[in-house]
Amino acid sequence: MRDVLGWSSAEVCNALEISETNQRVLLHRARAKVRRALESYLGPEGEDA
Amino acid sequence: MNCIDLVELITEYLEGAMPPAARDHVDEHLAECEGCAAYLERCRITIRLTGNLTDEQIPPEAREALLGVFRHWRTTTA
Repeated sequence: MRDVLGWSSAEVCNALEISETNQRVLLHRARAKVRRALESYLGPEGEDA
Repeated sequence: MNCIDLVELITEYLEGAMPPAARDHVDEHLAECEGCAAYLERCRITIRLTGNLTDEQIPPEAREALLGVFRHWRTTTA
């Protein structure tokens, strides 16, 4: 929602009815998940990309 | 502040949600750690790119390749 749809943190908090802090935790986990998926897709040479 | 701390705090840092003192610790670490500086830059690029991609921009062959990745992804991360 934040990165793909470009919503602000306030918009996401409102839509999901969660706190700022919780929103940040979910954002952190989501980005980490994307990063892990990219790492395994790109392989070792993706490290420096 | 070490590299593991930085990875954990990166979202707070990028969100501008850190107290100034903690932010200074991150900046100090970034100034002396090339790996973490590169990591931060990579995060920024990834975030920017995920926001740039729209359905219309994907050529049919890329769409097929992407769907193939998703199919494979489900079986490898389950």
